[in-house]
Amino acid sequence: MKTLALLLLTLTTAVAVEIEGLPKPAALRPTKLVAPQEKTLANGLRVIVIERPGVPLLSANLIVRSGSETDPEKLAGLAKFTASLLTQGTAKRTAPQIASEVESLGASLVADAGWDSIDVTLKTLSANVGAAFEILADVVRNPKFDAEEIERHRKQALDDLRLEMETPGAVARSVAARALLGASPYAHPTQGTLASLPRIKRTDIAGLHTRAFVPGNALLVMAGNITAADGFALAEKVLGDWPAAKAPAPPAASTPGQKPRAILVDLPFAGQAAVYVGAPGLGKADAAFTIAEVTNAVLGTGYSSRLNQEIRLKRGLSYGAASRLTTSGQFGIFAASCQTKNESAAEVIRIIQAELKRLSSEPVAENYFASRKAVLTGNFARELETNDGYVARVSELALHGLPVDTLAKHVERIQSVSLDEVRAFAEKHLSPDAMSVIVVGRANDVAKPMREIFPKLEVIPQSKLDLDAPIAGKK
Amino acid sequence: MKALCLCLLLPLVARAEIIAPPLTFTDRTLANGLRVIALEDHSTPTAAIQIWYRVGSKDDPAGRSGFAHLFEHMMFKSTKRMPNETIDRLTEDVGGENNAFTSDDVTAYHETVPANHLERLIWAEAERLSSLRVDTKNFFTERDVVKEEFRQSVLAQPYGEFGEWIPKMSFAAHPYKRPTIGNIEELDASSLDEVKSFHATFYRPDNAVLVVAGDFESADLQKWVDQYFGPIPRPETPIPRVTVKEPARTGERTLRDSSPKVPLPALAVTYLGPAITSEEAPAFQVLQQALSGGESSRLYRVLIYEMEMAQTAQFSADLRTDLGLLTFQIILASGADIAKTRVALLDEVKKLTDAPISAAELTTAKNQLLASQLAERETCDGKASALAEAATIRGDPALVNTDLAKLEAVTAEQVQAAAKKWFTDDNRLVLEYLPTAKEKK
Repeated sequence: MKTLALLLLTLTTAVAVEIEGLPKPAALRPTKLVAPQEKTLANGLRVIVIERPGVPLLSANLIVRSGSETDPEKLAGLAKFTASLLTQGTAKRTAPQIASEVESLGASLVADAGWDSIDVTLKTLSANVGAAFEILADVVRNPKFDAEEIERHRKQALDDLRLEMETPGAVARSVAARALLGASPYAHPTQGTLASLPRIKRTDIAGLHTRAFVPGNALLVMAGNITAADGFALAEKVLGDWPAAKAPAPPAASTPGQKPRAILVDLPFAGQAAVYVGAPGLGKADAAFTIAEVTNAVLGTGYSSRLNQEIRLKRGLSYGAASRLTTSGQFGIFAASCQTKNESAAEVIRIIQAELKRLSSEPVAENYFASRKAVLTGNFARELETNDGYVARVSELALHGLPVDTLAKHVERIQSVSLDEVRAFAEKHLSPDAMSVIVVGRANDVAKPMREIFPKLEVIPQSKLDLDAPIAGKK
Repeated sequence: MKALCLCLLLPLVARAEIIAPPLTFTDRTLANGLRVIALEDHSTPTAAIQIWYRVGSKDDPAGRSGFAHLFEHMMFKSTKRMPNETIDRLTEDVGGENNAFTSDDVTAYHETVPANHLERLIWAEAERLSSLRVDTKNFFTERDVVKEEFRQSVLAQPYGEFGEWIPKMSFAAHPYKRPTIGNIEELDASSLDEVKSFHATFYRPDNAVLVVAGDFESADLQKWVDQYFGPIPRPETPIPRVTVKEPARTGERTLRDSSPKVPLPALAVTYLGPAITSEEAPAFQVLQQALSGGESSRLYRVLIYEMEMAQTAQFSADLRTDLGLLTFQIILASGADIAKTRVALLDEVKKLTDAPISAAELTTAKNQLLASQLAERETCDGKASALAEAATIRGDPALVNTDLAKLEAVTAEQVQAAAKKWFTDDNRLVLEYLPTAKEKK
């Protein structure tokens, strides 16, 4: 097994806690990181193996580099719909046969789509890896897209949407993407809409599969109780004769370019308001992404982030406040969010605005800065204690065209970000004036105080929401 | 209804060749009653700490539903020597993490840290066990946080109130009827004095189990434990225990409620069940897996896939210290009729009592349970958690090494016998939950 010694958490002793009786930390113990090994098969399929002997399990991810951004304008949800149908019948297995065979192996096989990819993830007892990979390859290569399964899935997906539309946080995320990204290919709900799902036809599904599911447009990442040689041989056996074909072109470059807005979606029976403050962010491959990550950690990663301190710990206004960077290849979304009682929504917005401003107007204390970096490096180290964590991290790098050995440099890159870089980044990208604000809650309680902050507040009843197109502005 | 197409010709599976490696640990009890379990594991430079207390929401004081959980939040506030949130300084700030949870029977606190910080956490856990000092302002602020947690987990979820209604109606006398999260009125009624009294009553070394797993030398760990936990006195007073006996049910009942928040009707069927320590527990693990563990499971296959009556269909065998609750929970598919769905569900229950599950179902359930146990034990935190659960709830940490053999030994006939014993007409409660028209009040 190839390993790289890696000193994680190097700056952590910079954080001084002086308490009577509290013992001092001992000397740091080094972490070992497993280096991913890779091979490209003759048909163009890139295979990456992370050897983690010990626990007799294996996790794998077959990634097709075309996701929900390929959904045609009127067909929001097509990529997710297509992904879900992969496990619902192939040329030689019915849906119930796939489920029975997979589950009898002590395995699970799930297909789903997101921005930039459709992922087919397999987890199995490593003793059963041969049989499990044969089924993985079958659902990737030979899905039947049977009419009866399409209708069954459509009905389920529509019911899922009906539930989601009553959940404040989920509605806020969907509305925010539309408000922030307008008509870009990354703006629509990936799960589709009540209007778009009925429009999806078998030819749309089969067409996406034919175009996107080719070896040159795919990656296979596996981690667990397997050697690289065995992993490559297994990939060759079940996917080596997957015929090569022209890979689809990546999506055309687009710019989000929306003006900041303030939107209140009225959900009359909401037991709480979801507050969402966001702006378009950087793509994963952007050179400044690590700076964005560290800046975001100061504001909103972890329990002791500034947002959670101000909103939860000091004021008791929420069970948890955080900010996140969701990313795609082209650009992502920066968003601060939390849920609070309807009456406090406006107060929470003001706190978030003040914290955004403070990022550039006030220096971050050295000790606090070190602790926020430790949150990122610590999360990273814990993720790499599991097969799933390795697969997720390596998949993300490979999908966005970043070298997989970036993994070994991750901690160093986080540590190298300076206070000046954070301040400059916040000033340029995270000004409160650049943010759109979306609240989903009870308008009776939220509208008046929110209008005091945003005189041009747009109020939309949940029943009138149309997420198939950019949200129309105020007339 | 489409013809049944259960695939009975399953491939042979290599289950028997897989052996889950046993956990090797030490187990001792200090003079003050604290049980200490340690597992050395040098595979990653981290250490996981779990301290579980035998107190849960069933011990909420009268009129204070949610108090044990509210108290759990207070354990992160100041002590004699630690300012508020010191646990976060000692974990998150150095790349570690911490959290806690409250269930009906236990309250558990856990941390993972870089191994060189382990001694500090042993010190901090001893400190908050021996000398918690919460002030009024922090109590009120944190109580507001818990109320927001209640709103987020119950009020903001379409089926949140339905989820609370199920235990409330399922138990007649036992405090398991109260939701762990509580409610706004009873949270508002709680006081700082009650926090102090609750700590004095239940947070004592002879009511706790400490588990540490990770990259340390056992001699060091035991020295730290003796140094920091050893001096904490064992109170002379007995620990109060819930002694309420839940009466057996004496006839099938059906109750109905409604909500404007739900877009689709929901249905729950519950039966009282055995305690977690019952000999039937492994059979119920198999049954839970066979009924709702994946798309090959019976409820998914019949109610969701074939009949298209359900949007979600779950069965949980929630076996607790005093007794269990066996719950079928369904959200109906659009257009499905609740009376017909109820008949279809009860038909599935009857099949379980009429005939044993198939050999294929039994094998699948065992393989799935094996895989999930192996996955849990990938990390030090997972190993520590497994040991803490076995020691605190079932009284013996060594059970972690015999659980799989017991599962392997379960027969289809035992599963049927367990179903027959508990899924009786007299033991059945049916709860129907319907959407109401959305008229603004």
